[in-house]
Amino acid sequence: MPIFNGFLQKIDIAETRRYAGLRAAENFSDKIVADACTTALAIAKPRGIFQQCGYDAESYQLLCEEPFTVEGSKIRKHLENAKIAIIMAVTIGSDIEKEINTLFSKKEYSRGLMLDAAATTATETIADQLNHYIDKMAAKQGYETTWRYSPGYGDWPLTQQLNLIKAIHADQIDIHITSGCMLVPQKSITAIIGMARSAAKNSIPSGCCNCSMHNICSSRKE
Amino acid sequence: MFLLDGAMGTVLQQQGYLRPGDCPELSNIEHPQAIENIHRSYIKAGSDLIQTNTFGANRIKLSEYGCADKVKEICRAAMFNAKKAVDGTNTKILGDMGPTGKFITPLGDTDFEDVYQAYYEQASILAESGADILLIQTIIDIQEMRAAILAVKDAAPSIPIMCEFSFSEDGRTITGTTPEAAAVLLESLGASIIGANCSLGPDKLIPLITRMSDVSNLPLVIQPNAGLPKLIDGKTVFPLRPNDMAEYVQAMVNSGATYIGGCCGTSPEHLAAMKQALDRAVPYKRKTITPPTALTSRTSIVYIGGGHPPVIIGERINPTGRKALQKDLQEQNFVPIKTEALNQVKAGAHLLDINMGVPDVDQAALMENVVKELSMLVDTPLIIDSTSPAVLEKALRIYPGRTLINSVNADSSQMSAIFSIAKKYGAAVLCLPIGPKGIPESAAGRLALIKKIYKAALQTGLRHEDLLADPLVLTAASSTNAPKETLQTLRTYKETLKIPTVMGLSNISFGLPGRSGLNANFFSYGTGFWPQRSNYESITVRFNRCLCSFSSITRL
Repeated sequence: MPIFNGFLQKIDIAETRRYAGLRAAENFSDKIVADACTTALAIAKPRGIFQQCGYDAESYQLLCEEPFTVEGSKIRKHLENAKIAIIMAVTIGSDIEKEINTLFSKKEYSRGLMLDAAATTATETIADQLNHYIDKMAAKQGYETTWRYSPGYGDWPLTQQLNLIKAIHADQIDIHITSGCMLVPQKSITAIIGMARSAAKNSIPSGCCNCSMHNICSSRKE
Repeated sequence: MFLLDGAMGTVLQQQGYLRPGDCPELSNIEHPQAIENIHRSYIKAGSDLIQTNTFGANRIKLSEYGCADKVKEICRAAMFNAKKAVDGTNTKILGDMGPTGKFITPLGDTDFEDVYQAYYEQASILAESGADILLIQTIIDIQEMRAAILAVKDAAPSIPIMCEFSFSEDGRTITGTTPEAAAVLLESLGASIIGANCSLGPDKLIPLITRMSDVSNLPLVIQPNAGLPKLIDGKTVFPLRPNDMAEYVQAMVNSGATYIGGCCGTSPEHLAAMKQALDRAVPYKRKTITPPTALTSRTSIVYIGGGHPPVIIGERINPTGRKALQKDLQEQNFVPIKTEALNQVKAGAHLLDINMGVPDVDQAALMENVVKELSMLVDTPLIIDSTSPAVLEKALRIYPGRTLINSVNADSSQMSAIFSIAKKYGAAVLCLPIGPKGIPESAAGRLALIKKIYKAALQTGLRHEDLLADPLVLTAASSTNAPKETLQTLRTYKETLKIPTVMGLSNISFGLPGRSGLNANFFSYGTGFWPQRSNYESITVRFNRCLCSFSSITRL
């Protein structure tokens, strides 16, 4: 499976504040946010893996090593025009989780919270880099790509994490899964990207306003 | 002006010799006549140089098709087909070497040496079989280009190297390298012809060639796609027709390119139209630039001297006298130095000096690991602070950019070893006026030593723009005359050799109170040295133990 680990040179402070639920907390120290981003940069170990496979939009089958049927109406709609799908996974490793847990155990809750948010931002940054690389490779062949869609979005059940993890041999980058279908390390992402002649036309629009949780989500982007 | 050829793969597809999933390079063996005919079509169209059908004929790429053991067979067959086609003409043959399809660690999972070996094997066979030039093309990561160039230089030292990067619409390779950083690095590594191919159409690629011409005098090559591809009825289609491509030829000439060709989607018809346009084109007189002294990382370039602003070197990644840091490094715990690197960059450092003088460890292996870690973490170019050839060799081999070796003195054996490594890896070298009797007190004595080093460096094949000199700042506590002599040395370097200078600024205040103020004053003397020029012209400064001064100085 192709490996693209990306490089983590910056963590967006505004995004980190958003993930920490601090957008409205104007008096919160900028220094603690910036320090958390620096700590996350120093500790994170970015890794990424992906695999291209065929997709049959009629039977909703992903034609990977162990083909499986994609569950959930939203993801099926999202991949409606796709002939090819890219399964991807990224992580920033487990060391950062240990540091977050250490901070909480020392009752340094603010620092722990901010490091957790910085780690989430870092994971998304690495996912964005791999996504960007996949987009460019697809464009070279004349394909458009859908935005990346992860288990847990819409009505795509988390149980399908297991199928994705197996399909791309995510254990190669030390991503595993619990019996409750949660990823280990926690700061990991699995996702799928559709490739099609006109992928964007029928896929679900991206952005918070198109999410069913829009009205109640504390992390939504304005 | 020289006309290259156009695409091979898309023409093979159109002619039905290549189906999706086929290995294009096997066509050299399975359809030799078709390959020869395509070469002949391009020669008939006017191509002065043709490319062998060996784009993916390296061991790593061929393994995707189960053909890793066929490198020699394929490359020889490809060269045979090309030679038959050029027989009786003046057309030259480019031995084509494309990407492996893998990223090198730590960006990917493929070892640098495996990629080097794959290119070494391919280059050896293509050179032995008669390639006139070896072409490394469509490369998206600087590290893969470096592995390929080093392999070609070792495998075929007498054959010119043409290098082409593939850029995205944002003007960078997918892994972030700019045309300027690419050009500076390629020239320092010894490429003969540099440029870009694939990914973009001529409209987007031409400005990138112009940007390369701003920092290098090397001949330039451009091979655009026939526009950006679209998928129509399940087929990848490139929109620009032959006459459309021909309309861009004058602009390609005006970008400074002297080697012009096509990439994906171009055909012999495209090249025939481009040939006609090239014959009609108004010649372009390319301006000669003064090659800059510059260092690069994978994603950035830092210019030194030559009218550019002063450059600040952070020197805190140095375990000398720091027991806790030594222990961390002995235990391979890199979090503290990564944090140190980030903090120095945040405080304004443009370059980071890396010293791994840790006792009781394999310093070469440690330096290699640290350089790998930091080159992924910061876009600031790194300086390798060592005089050990073993440490330098390890660090320079895997650093994805053009670094500065800190440092060399006037010792003959040290100069010989270090210049050889600098030349091989395209590094710049910081020269120190230290001779058998130590540091001369006078500016004249220091200049004499620097002249000796400078002359030896040029004789080894290094260039003027590879060399920087340090006047050596001694503490004012040792002699009240020391600061004046240092500034006088700085002046003589500038007037005589006209090379960029580097000062360990905070040494001036060592052992004295009020270091920040003293550092700041000395800095202003150094930068304001040339009334006839901008204050920004003259020096590069280094800070080690005085980060407090470092912050205040950056605000000057």
